[in-house]
Amino acid sequence: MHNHLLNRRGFLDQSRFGLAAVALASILDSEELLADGSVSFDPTAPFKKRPPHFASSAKNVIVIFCAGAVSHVDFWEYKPELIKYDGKPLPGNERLISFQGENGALQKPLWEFNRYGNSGKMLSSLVPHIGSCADDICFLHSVHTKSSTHGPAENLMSTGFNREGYPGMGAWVTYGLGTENQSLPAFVAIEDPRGTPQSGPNNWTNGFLPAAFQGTAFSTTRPISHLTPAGNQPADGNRALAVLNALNQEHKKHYTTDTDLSARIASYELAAKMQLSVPEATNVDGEPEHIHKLYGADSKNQTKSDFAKNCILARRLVEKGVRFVQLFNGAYASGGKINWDTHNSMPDLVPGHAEILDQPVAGLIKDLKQRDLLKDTLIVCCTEFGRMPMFQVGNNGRDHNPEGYTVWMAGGGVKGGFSYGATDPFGYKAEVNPLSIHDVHATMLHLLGLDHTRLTYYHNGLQRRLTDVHGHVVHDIIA
Amino acid sequence: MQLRFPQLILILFVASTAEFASAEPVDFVRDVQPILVKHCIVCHGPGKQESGYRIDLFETLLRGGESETVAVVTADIEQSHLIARVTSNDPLVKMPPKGTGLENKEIETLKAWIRNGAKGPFHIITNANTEHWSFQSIHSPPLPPTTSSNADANAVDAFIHAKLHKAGLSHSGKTDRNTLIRRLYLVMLGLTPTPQEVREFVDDQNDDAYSRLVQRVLASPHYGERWAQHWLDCVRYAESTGYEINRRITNIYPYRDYVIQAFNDDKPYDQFIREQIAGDFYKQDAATGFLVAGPHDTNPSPDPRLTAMQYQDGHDEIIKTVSAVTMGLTIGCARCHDHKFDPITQEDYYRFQAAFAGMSYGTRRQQGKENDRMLTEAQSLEVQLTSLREEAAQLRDRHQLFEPIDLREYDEEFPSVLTDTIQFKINATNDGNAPELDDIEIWAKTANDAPSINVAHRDRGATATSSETAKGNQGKSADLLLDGSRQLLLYFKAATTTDVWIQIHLDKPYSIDRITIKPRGRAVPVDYEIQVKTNNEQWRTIINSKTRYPHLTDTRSADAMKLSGLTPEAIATIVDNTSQLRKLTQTYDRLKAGPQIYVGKIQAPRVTHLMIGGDPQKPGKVIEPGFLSVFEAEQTDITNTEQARRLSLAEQIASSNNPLTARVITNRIWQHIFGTGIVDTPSDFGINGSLPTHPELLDYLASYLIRKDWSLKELHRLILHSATFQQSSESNTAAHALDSSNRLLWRFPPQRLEGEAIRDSILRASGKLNPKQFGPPFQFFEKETSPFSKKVPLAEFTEEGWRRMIYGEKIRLESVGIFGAFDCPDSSQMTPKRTVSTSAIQALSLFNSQFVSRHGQFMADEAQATHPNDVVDQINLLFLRTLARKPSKPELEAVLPLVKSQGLASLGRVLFNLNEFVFIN
Repeated sequence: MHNHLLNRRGFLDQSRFGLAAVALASILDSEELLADGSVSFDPTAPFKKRPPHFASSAKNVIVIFCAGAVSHVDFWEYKPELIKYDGKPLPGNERLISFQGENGALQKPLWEFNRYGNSGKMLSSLVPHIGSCADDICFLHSVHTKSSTHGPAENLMSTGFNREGYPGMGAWVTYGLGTENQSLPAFVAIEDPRGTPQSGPNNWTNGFLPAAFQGTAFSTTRPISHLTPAGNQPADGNRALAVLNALNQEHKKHYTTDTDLSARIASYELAAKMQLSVPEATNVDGEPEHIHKLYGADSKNQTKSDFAKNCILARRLVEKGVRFVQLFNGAYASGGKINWDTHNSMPDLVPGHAEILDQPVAGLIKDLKQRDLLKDTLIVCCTEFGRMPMFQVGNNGRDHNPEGYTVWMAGGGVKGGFSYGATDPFGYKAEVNPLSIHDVHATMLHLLGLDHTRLTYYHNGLQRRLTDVHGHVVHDIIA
Repeated sequence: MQLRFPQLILILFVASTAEFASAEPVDFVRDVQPILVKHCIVCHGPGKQESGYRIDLFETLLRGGESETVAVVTADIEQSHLIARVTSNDPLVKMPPKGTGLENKEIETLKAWIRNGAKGPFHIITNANTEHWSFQSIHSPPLPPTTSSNADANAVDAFIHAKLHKAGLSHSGKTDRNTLIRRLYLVMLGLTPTPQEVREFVDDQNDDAYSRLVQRVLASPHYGERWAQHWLDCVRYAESTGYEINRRITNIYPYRDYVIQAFNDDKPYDQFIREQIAGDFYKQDAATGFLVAGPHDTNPSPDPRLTAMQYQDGHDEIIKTVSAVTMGLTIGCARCHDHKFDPITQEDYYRFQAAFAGMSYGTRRQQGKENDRMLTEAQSLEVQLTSLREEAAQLRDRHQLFEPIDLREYDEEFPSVLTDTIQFKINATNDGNAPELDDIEIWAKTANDAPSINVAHRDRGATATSSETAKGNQGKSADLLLDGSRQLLLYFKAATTTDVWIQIHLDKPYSIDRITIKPRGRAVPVDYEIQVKTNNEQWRTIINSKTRYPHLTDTRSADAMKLSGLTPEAIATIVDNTSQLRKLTQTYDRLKAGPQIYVGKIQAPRVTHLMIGGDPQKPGKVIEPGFLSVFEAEQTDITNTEQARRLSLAEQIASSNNPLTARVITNRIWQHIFGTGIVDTPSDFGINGSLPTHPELLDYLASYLIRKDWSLKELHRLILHSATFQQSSESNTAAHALDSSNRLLWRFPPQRLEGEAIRDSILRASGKLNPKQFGPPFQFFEKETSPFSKKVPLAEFTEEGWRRMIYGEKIRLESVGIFGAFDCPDSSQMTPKRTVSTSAIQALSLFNSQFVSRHGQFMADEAQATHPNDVVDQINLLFLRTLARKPSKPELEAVLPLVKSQGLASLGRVLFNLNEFVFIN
């Protein structure tokens, strides 16, 4: 009776999982952001593109999350006083106890700073490639956070709460805006080739939002699980799928008003499409040689090369209309070996981390720019907190510093070659125009055309927001 | 209510024990309170108390104000000053002073109330927000007149039908028996029925067939497993700490088992609540796992700010859970300021915190049989232990050895020596690991009458060098021996186990006579020399560990041990004794500790402060434990032991007079039957929560629950017998147009199964479900290579992993393979209501995974074995196993070609992916 379902050879030949001709029912509710801030969306197509609250400069986001905490005083924020007072105690905090204990004397940056771009931005000589993009970058030097432990601070940076179980930025954004490409996940988390970040999947969790808005984790080195049938399945999955569809349609006759049944039917179609679209999107090796070179994917340093490929993947995803990409640089706590958590041996460890980060990220900015995608794509390079301007007692590394650090942005409508806010003269505490993480989030949402106070979801007694009850848009950094 | 704890319960429970005797009882909340609120509260309420008279607290309402006349004398209107004032004709005496005064009817109500004994409520409402519906006492409302002709209709239907009727709707017809039994099994047990169970019910011609089926389902051990999962969702139970370390907690599962058992035993719900808050009092230790099942950050740090934040966050989890799960109150919102919507003050929040001030995340002895057994066994070892200890003492005596070192701190004393350089040479540690030391203090006399000073401190200019130190996240250099304090992460650790040396250089020569050594309890040096030299002299040994008797934890062999003046035989005797004693002590200590389970460590409560703005760095005034101020709960002037604090709270929450507790659980039960609660914000009954769609029904059921001694099974039985439950779930376009969300229940609402129920039902259909209950969990992930490495879901399971999913290890934040994608909560947040989403990832997992296809194969194999020669019978059986029905003719025609070309297993895979399979219809 349903033989016609089996005759769509063109599609079926390519896929062992091709569910053809599943009717995407026209049972769509109106898709909009409601007055109370919650979003009405069609369960059969949760990622359907939705209009923002107001006209926006950015359409997509790539967050580069440097897990383990990058030292702002060694990389991004030049502090002449720190050089001058090298070896002296931090005035007013001579015996500061921080996360791991006692701190020693102030320690000047371990590497030279150079001037970059027309803006003359002072940045570490360890990041010359990023330096060459300085005129596209907007530095926020006065960000502060609430926790000095990696997990909770990562949570706060990614979800707005240091506790667990709140939706990640990407979940909020895709809940608000849907996505452009219905054949790819709307929110992708790309883990570092060396491993999972400290707070793991809580960085890309849907929290209490519907599970559809969870980030899908895959990278050039780690595919999506179950994308292809397990080895023991019959070669022709289409036949089974056609029968599945036939039986579902039969069942649906009695449940004509139930959209969630249609949604399930549609999900098998999307799954079939993803079997083609995901391998196609992750085929970074198919990129031309000059692109590989631009990102440093040709590097002999395997980690750098893998990270560079992840950066290329991020660009490919955004190009194909994926709304939100969270790209990790650095894995879990490891004595600073495979992430930025350098409590000791900074002189030995940090240059290696910088090498992995520098060229691939700069390549990403340049590549987006040459494709004219940078104006639509907001790049946010963040980390969970800063590091102390001192070395730890008895050690040559810096402890965690939640009091002040740097987040930078590029593209998506922010001012290039611009710096905002500052820590105190030694780099310890955010002093000039201090910014909470909520301010950073509010600004990101604003750039996407979303009012952070109006993007809400009811959960356990409150209309919840990414920004909790805080957050101010930093209009000064918007071009 | 019984006076179960007279030492805790003062006047307030007394006032509520007796039922009103009179024919038309006056109810305080319904009849009296509105009069007081209308006429009196402005001048005699919580904000302002004219003449010291306060009527919002029951006790002071009766007692009166400053005038020493008693306001209300039970059953004596003449003596009740309150009546005298409201009935007076003297304008200077009459109350209220302005206006026309109380109406006669109101005065009569007050009089009737006093005549009847002036019975009061457990709670008195104190502020304007408290007129909110959920704070009002529960009354069992009369049944609406039924308009239903349905013979099966019961009390539930009367309420449902009244609303449907009003909306111009009616129930759908009764569903068929195949659908009904599948629905009943999935709702109540989370499992599909077996083909035999289906046949028996469908063929049962007796009138009470359904009643008996309900009875069987309620008696099934799977009932507790299903309903425990709902409860654990609310509690966000998991078996790891969460946060960055996300350490496994391998001994919290007794709480999961407790909950399953409690549901199966139909433990009265009020007692279930009491035990979860104060289970130690009831010898139900596992129950308090409730309090510590949430995520908590255990990453230790010497930073006091972080530690303070961790304490506040950890307790916040407890407060939020207790209040939201039991009472549907979001007390957590009052951590930084008074609740924005509900009558909950910031002080209330810290009163709750004070109640749990002695509770922390950790393990505790589980009282009971196993504990008794272990203690008895420990006792039986004591004779042998004593004898070995005596033998050790004799050996030490005989060989004239000094007493053993201490694992945390001890002194080496020696005749005074003048030196500026001290060297430690270490060749072995007690456990064979590279030596660790926190601190070394070297004591010198600077003057005869002055106390000794520690000259090995870096502030004095002392420095240290050493052989190679360990590489780690933190520094482990020798200077850390000279920082004058133990620090959590900053200590000395050598790179090697033997040939370790540490040199301490003093700022100048001192006359020293004592060295304090502070090891870290592990990797403690046991073979060492302490040497000194001044200028270019040779090293001179002043202390040698050979003179000390070996420590109990010293695992060196006799060959490796040297003791001053002892023969190898004598050393062997000592090592033999030490080794025996060590093993016995370990066994003894383990037995003595009893079974340790992760249900909260109990200590003396610390002082609780209100934290200004919720900032852990800004303590405000001291707060005593207590209940919510909106309820006139007793101010417990009990001895305030740690347990009493929790017990008192438990009593107030579990009281039949608490208007929230019974309503909240009733609503949860309803929700998990019909998909949506009567209140669809199940953990928020506050102002911001939703209003009930059927308030009278909710109160009827809540009263019913209390009347049935809080038996949840009785509540279930009532609801399951309703026509509302037994009606068809099919679409009805006309009804849909009027009530698209089906909140009025014109049909039984179809519901997507949870991931757990999908997995469990696949296993049951394949015949592989392992019914083993309780105990340690099975694994969902491959063994990790490091605690931080990514968890990789297992693709294959053995029989152990074919247990119900509730017995699988619940790692916080980690989504289990295939089924996690079906909205299984990650246990970070309380999940009283799961989201139901549909994604391509679900489709990929369910259609492509090895697990699903393998169980499709198992199911097919068994069908072929049962019906070897008839493919239609085989297909019928597969349909029965998954959908509790046989295929229709068109369905059979659709599947036959597939079965013929790809085998029966392929059909199994299809069935497991069907909408009908993953839905309760």
